[in-house]
Amino acid sequence: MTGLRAIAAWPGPALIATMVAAVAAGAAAAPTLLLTVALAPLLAFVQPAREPAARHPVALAISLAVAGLLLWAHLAVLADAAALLGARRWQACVLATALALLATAVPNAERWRGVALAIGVAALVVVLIVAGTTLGRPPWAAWRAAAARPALVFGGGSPWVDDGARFVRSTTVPFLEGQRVVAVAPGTFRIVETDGARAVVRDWRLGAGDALSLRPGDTLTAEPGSRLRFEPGKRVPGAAPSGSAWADAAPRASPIDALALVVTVGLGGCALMPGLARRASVASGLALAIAAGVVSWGAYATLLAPEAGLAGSPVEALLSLSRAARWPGYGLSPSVLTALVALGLLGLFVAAAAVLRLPIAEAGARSSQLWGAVLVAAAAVAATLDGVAPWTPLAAGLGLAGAAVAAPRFAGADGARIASWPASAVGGLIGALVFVAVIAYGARLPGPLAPLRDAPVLAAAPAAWLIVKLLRREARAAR
Amino acid sequence: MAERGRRVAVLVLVLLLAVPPLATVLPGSPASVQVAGVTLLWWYAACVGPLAAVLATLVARAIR
Repeated sequence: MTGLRAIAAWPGPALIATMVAAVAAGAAAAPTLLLTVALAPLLAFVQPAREPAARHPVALAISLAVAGLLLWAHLAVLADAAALLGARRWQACVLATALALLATAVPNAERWRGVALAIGVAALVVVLIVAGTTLGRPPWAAWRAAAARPALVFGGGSPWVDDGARFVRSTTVPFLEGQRVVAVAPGTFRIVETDGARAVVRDWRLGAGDALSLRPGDTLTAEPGSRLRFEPGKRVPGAAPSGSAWADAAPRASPIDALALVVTVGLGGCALMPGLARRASVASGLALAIAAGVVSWGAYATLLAPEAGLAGSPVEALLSLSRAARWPGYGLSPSVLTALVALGLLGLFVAAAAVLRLPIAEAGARSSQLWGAVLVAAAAVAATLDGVAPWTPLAAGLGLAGAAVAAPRFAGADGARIASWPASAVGGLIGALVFVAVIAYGARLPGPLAPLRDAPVLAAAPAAWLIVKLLRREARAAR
Repeated sequence: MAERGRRVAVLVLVLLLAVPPLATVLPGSPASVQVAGVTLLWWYAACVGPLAAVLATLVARAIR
């Protein structure tokens, strides 16, 4: 079970989509994110053997919060995919929730979770192989070709220039060159024109077929659900200006942001994969598979669809590989590849949802199945709202897990007590309180502490670690 | 895994994770150097780093 648990809990649909999108967009933090996600299973592997989690209301509350946030992130990715494919967000949420509940209710549930995981991984691998063979390039050659492009422009076959595509959430994009965009469906668009030092804001209510002309330096804000058509051959607004700029963004990342990412994802991974001890082959295979698979997917996505980040959702980059089927000489239709990606994400979600329920049972929930069902349903309701990007609940879930679960454990909380409480519960409570406080009062933090707003775990994890170290020692001395 | 090997593995993994943030502040931007059309930082994040981490973990596992 531990091997399945480790693979299913890490990385899940939200983390996969976020990593691929970061690579495809040439995000400065992409290499750090990829490396940390890939190495997290190995970090979990080298953790000291842990004792069973303490049964305590605080541990239960933390487990519920972490599972709820991560399920929300995963379901938000599935809902985004549904919105991009023309369905409703709630339809994806209902389908995924029903499958997740079914997977826990059927006889031999553990076997079915394994089947769901295998189907998910296999579907995504098939899409990646099809894209690679269709393009006829290994990933590094695709990378080189993408980096050699003089400009990242809308290509033929892109839904953004054919029929117009949909914005998943409110998105603001800057235009580097003049372009005429056409509203495919009625919507309101905000244009900010820069006239010297002066910015002029105009709100346009467009009907279907109405056009807007944008000049270099303008920005456009589109509301969720609105659809636009762009001009083929024009630069993708919001994307890197050229292939070399896309490839060279990473070395200019902020070291503070990189540190925050490493701590958030690394500690979160250690908290989510405690069962990986003695599974060196699983940890090693997972690390190498994540690194190779995500970079390959990102390189192909950039080559096939440089506009893959335009809709405001990370899942657009994952879905963009289906465009490989439009290339001549291949029998599969794009809809088959799209269905495979959706199937892969659903399979990963079902397996992840089942595994995220386990810490709730360990923490002492009387009916973990009921708690799991309530959590998935609540996360599904949250995911139907399009205002929150998947990264927000994902980073919050990983950060909270790192601060309230992993940090106390590293301080030696397992099996120890502080007064009448388990030390892990005390450390978890402090970690969670500091984490929430930094989020709540982050806007009031002075300048030097500003990075904590985006990575509360940088304050919460040391606080939890320190409390357990200090109080645990005092408790021993008092004996 | 023996305690000594575990500590060595943790140290190596943390050092490997620290490379990308450190590479961004080094003079001369060595992370931007391209090998076969791909920057060194990306070779490191996608291939060298994970492979080194796997090797280090397996070697540390053998340490008694």
